[in-house]
Amino acid sequence: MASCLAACADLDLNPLSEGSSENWYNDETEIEMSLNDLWRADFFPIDDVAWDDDWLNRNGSNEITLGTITSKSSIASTRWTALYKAITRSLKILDALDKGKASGVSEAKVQQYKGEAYFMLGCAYGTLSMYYGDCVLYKNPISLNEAYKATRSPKSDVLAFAYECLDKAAEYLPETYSGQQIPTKGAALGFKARFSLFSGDYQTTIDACQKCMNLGVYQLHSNYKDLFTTTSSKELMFYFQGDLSQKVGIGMFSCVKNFVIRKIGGFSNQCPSLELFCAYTCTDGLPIDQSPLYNPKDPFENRDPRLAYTIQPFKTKYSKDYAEYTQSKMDGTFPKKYPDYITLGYEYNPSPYATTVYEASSGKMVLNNDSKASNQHSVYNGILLRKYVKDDWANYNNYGLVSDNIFPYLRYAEILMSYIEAKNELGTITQEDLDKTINLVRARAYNGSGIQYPKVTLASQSELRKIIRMERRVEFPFESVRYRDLLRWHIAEKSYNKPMYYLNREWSGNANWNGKTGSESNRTLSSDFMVLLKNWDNGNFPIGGIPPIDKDGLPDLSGMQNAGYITTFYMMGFDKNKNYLWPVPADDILVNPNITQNPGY
Amino acid sequence: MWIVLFSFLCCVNMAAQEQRASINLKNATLKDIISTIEKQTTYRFSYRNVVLDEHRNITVSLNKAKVSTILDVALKGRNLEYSIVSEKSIVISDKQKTNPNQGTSKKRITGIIHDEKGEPIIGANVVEKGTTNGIITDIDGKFSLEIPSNAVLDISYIGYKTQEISTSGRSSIDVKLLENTQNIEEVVVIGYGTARKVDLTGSTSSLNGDRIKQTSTPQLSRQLQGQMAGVQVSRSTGDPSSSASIRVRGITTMSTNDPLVIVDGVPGSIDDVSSDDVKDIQILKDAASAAIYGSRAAAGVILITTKRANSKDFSMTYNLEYGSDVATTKPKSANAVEWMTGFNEMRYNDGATSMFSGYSEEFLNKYNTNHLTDPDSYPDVDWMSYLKKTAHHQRHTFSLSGGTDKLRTNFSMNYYKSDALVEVKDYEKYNIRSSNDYNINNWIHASADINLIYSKSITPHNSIWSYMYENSLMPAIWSDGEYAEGKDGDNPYACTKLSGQTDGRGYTVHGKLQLDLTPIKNLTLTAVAAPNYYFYKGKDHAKKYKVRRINGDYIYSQGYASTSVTEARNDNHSLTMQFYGNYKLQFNKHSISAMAGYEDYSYEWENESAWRSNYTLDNYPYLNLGPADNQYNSGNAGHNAYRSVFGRLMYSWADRYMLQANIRSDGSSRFAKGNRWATFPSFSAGWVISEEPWFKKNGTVNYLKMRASYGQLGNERIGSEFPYQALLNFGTGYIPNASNGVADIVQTAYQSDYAFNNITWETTTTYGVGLDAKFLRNRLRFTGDLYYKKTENMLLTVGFPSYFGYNAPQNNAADMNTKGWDIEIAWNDQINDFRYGASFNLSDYRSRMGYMADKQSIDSNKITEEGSYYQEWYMYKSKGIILNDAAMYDSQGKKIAVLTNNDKAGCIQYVDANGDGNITASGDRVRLGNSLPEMQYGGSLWAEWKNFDFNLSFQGIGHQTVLWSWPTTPFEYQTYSCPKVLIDDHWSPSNTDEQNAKAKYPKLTTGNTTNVYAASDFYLFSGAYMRVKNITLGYTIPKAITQKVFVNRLRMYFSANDLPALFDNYPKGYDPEWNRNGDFIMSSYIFGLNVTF
Repeated sequence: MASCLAACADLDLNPLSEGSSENWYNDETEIEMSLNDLWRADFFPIDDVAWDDDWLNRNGSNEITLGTITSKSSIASTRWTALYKAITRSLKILDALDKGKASGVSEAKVQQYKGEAYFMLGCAYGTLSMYYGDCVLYKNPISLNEAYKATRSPKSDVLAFAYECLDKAAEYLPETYSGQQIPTKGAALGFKARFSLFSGDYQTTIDACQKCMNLGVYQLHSNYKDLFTTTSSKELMFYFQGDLSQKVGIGMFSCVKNFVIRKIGGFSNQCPSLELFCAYTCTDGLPIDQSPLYNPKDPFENRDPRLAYTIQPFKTKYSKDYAEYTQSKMDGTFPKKYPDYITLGYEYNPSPYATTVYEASSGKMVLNNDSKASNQHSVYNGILLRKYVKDDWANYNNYGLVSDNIFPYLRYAEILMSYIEAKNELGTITQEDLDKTINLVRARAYNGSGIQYPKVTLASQSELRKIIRMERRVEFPFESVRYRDLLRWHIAEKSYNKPMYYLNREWSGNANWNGKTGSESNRTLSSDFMVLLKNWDNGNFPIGGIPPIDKDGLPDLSGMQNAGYITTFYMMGFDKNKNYLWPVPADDILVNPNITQNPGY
Repeated sequence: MWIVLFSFLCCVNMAAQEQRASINLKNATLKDIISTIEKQTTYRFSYRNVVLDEHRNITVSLNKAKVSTILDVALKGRNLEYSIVSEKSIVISDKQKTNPNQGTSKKRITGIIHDEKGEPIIGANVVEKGTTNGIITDIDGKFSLEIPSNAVLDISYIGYKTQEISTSGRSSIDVKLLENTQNIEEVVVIGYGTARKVDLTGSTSSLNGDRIKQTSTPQLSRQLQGQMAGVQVSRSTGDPSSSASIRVRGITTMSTNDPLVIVDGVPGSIDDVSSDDVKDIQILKDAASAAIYGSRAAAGVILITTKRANSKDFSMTYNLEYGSDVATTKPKSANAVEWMTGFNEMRYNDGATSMFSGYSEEFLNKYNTNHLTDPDSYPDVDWMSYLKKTAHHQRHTFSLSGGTDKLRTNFSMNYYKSDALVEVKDYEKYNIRSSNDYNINNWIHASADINLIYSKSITPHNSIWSYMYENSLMPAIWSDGEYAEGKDGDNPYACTKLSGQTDGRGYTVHGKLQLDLTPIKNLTLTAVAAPNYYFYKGKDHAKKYKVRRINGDYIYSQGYASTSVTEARNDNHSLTMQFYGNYKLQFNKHSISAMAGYEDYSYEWENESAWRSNYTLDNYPYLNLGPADNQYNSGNAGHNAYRSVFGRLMYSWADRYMLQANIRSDGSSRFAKGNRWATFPSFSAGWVISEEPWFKKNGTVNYLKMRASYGQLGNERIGSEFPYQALLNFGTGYIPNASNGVADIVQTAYQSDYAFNNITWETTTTYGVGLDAKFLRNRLRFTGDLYYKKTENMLLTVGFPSYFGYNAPQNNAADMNTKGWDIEIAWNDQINDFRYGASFNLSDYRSRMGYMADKQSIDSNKITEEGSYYQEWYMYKSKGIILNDAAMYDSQGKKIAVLTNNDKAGCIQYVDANGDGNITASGDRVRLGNSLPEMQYGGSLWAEWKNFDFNLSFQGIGHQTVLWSWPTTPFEYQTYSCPKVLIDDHWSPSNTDEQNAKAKYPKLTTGNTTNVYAASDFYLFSGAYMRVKNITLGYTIPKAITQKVFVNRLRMYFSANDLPALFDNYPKGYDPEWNRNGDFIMSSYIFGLNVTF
């Protein structure tokens, strides 16, 4: 028995496959592992594509576009919680560095690590200030008891601290890096510009942007089209990228099946909105309701090239070269003549008559799955995503539905556009300012199109405001920019208090329809589908007519609904008295009554 | 006692060969003599009705003498006499007294006494109660006795339970004596030893193995449902491989409420024991009974004793059971036209301008006609019809048992197999148990047990839930028999059939070696080593497959466009070691037992998994055949340990007054050094009032015992292995690298949970009183318990401010008070050869939170805060459905408070509890009552007549408030199905106000699910129900027939288990116990056979 007692269970155990933070932050490896944890997309929250008016999510509505968000909604609590985790973790790293916990780390490294931690801290507080306004602000690690008694600090204090952190980061961080991304001086300044622009602190924006521009390390990618499929660019200031082998995709790239054509098994159930479609100016730089170049029966004609780089182009019956286009599919010259009309191996043709499409691999016409002619669930508003689409999306099934596209979280064009907007708002804008910013952005957009870009010239503040707002919309769709822009311009109450439109839901009723009507049809077609055919025949597909565009660049499509071209998908909603700020999570208020709530929640 | 005389007179020829013994003792007591004889012969002495003196005044020296010779010497000079009743039995009694029953009216009663197997019992004592008038049975088990006309007979035999039989109005009786495996007095298993049942002072419930076999499931945990007071068993799915959750006296702590399961003295898992192997189950409900198990016993203890062999009793049994299983009920979904009509209405509610914006009126009108001629283009699929109507299960048990004086051995093998309503799904379990008892010599006894379990469960990649969300417009099978695309390739039926399966196999080995040493009389030293090994091997083979679209194209199915293989290998190992000593002493009327011991336990686990994807070959589920560039793996490990020392003292006097004290010190690796050890005492007392001399036992009340107890228990089971350490999690990060164009995969480190360094034991103090009583000649039995539990330093996750940046761990943060009671009432009687009985149990408790330092814990719709129930409902209060647009304004014309800007007619109106004009989650959620079941009950009725046996048992919940939730959000993604009960009864824009006022559910919408599906009392309803758990009718073929084929006993039975719930308010199609995504709860219809050779 004595020998058994000697072998009795040992109670002094320690974790086997985990570490303990008590004895962490001891060397470069441990600090770098902790910093690595910060560069994750949930600490740099990406606004969902479905939250803004550039997007139609056929899967239904969400609490942001409906304005039904409450203090119990996970949208609000997830971001709040994630950002405070980032704050706590960065403060812990800073605390360890300040206390000299780590041994054998050079002064230069310590400085860079601090810079990285301040960068995270500044970004987190800056982001919090944009969405929640007043926030709990702590600049050093706090105890649990302090946390239970904390109060919200005014937004201005939060923002001031964010600036302070980003300034320190800009001071400590290098201008460039080689290989693996680390935050840079420019990125710190860029985020400072973003946060200050959001709160209308224009001079700070101008200063930060100016410093960024002066660095000389960033430049616009030569070609707008390639920017979103490239893997590196001097335009990218801070970005994320997934990994195919690990089946990890960032943001919308975590399920590209949603955007892939039905022909190859995708859903194409999320797509650009008709409003975005109408926001692109014509090649003369004028909005479509003013430009003589706009052809409502072929809305792709004479448009800003970014339209066809963002939304998959297709031909309408009224396209100038429609006959030639149709012929090329017969004689096999199609892929060569019209490469942009092919996506992931197939022609994209949403025409309600198009029962077949061109298959690039065989040169044959095969059954179309992306048209109401043969598929009930084909793209609901007729327009399909083009931006970001890479050929390897066709193999999405092998990669767990993800793609490894880079997500351009902060790119240099935003610095240029923020600079010019701030200048315009302050009324200090010059032609030189325009030429070194928005005109560079436009020039790049037209680069490779063979068309001379329409130069922006000095105009009244309100005229320029409209130009800048429309330019931002078409330059940055699906980059987590638009939702914030709607909030900071205070036009969300306009853009959301109206219907989300799409096409009539009716289809031919059968995948084996022969594409003919009347007595030649092999199917009885419903009257609603006949309306869709009529709209196509009359050149009113997908929108028809010319929508008026208001001073903020927002198109009004209600006329098209009245004319029967489009219909309401659902009513959006926005309460201007509350929805400009997000709710503070209810549970925090219950836990600590000192925490106040934003108005209306 | 007259028996002695009678035995000499009647049964001389029966006392066959009198045995001999050698004895050489000086200054011995009578007991020494008896024990010497017992060791050398098969005789066992019974001296229950006399007091053996302790005088050391006997000196005998006889070699191979007849026992009667020895006894004549030993009893000389004492007022005692003896009777050699049988080969097994010698009764010592006071010398003959006069018969007090002279002069009353007499009758002659005859009868037969036999055992459970029908064998006659020779030499059983049949005594007129309260007298010495008696006789013993003859070689055929028969007797004849003259008694007063309404006398009661006491029938007893060594090794059997004594029975009292009323003879009024009867002239012959047929009595079956039940075996009592512990000689002389009923002994029950308690922690680290045994105790006489009469000495128990705590609150326990027990269940005989025979009662457990009634219901048929491979998981023992499920078989306890409704069987015992204060033991609530709940399940949420009909899946045969899943176990049920057991709560002893409800939920009284935030952390693990699973009771500690002790199998044959060693911590184990309840579902590792096959019901056929169970001899009995004891549930220790209060701290006094459970205290000896210390730290892990706060939530009660389940003691399972498995069957062991009897000596000289060789038998072989085979049990067969075959059953058909059907769902108790199934939910129905809207059919195609109903769904499309509902969809149109939903879209209208959400902003569409027409009532036919999704499907045109003409399309709808013609749909059903078109469906008949062209079902492929116009599908109307009842997805439930792609589940099997009936599942089947079978169970076989084979056991061998036998023994000699030196070795007793028992072996059993159980096999269970069942399929499920979902195709492919299959479950198999083997349970092999062998127990062996060795009598090495007079002072060494050993036992060696081994238990092997193998289970294999094949599960398809989708569950019943996936059949429920698919709407009726999604085609399953084309008319030519090919698999259709369903929703964009998501066809649950094709997925079940074609996507491969998960094959999980569990291998368990439990071993136990026990050594009992008796170095000196009355002292037993025990050493136990019980290792446990578990190994899990899982193989998930996900195969790519295609389904055909309506246009003839084939597409890969959703989620199965590439083939992958995932292998999991998990193992764990634990070792329990125990060393304890028991000392028992009985003299005069004192009975003392003391126990002291040590136990330790260590546990370690390790999990690994590895997978490859994008296989070219679909039919080779092996890792080496997968492409090397798509491989992944992961693993983790952990461990914990505890040590304990404990002791117990029990004392009773004259079976009348009992005292018990326990103490246990536990140390756990979960706490930091300074907080590691804690000591928990308990005390209890009992008073058997009916043993008092002044108590009239022959009245209405035959037995009365009062119990009281106080005890403390600790709890350290808080999930996390090292809660006091600030744990660093390691993760994987993806950081873009411009130089190679891909993301670098980097290791990351972060602390996600806050750590309370001083976290320590949670302590539950329980005060209990209980009453056991028997009435009406012991036929009516009552047990009642009242208790109060106070849990201090409760380990609980309190609400952390989320802006603190850490996940909240558990901490010693609250007090909770629980009050409760349980009662059990049973009636057993026999009328001639009709034996019957009934029992009923009922229990209830309420747990309310005490001091919580102003903290709260909110778990979605439930709150735990000072003064609230534990996990009280915490939701909006509703005012019903907003009837029409006018109802959006109050009588003053002011707009009502709304939850969202989108609240309109048809939504639910909520109460603005704080009066701020808005409905908000932080201001308007209120406490809405207990979320836990109240008034749980169960019971049974049984009867035996001739060769027939019958049982009916039931179980139910008397009161509970349940939050209604749909299996899926109706119409979600514009494709999810809509439950029929919602389609049939909701607020609709096309209804009149009168119709809408009666609507049960709000409007159809996906645009404001925030409002219509918000958790509120709108969806609270009474979840009370009752269920018949079992009805069995059995028939035992007369022995005369079966013995011709050497079968001792052959019984056949039919039974029905788990019938559909009764008296419930659940919407049609929803079983109260079903969790909305698991397998349906099943009713089983069973045929069974028991054969004993």
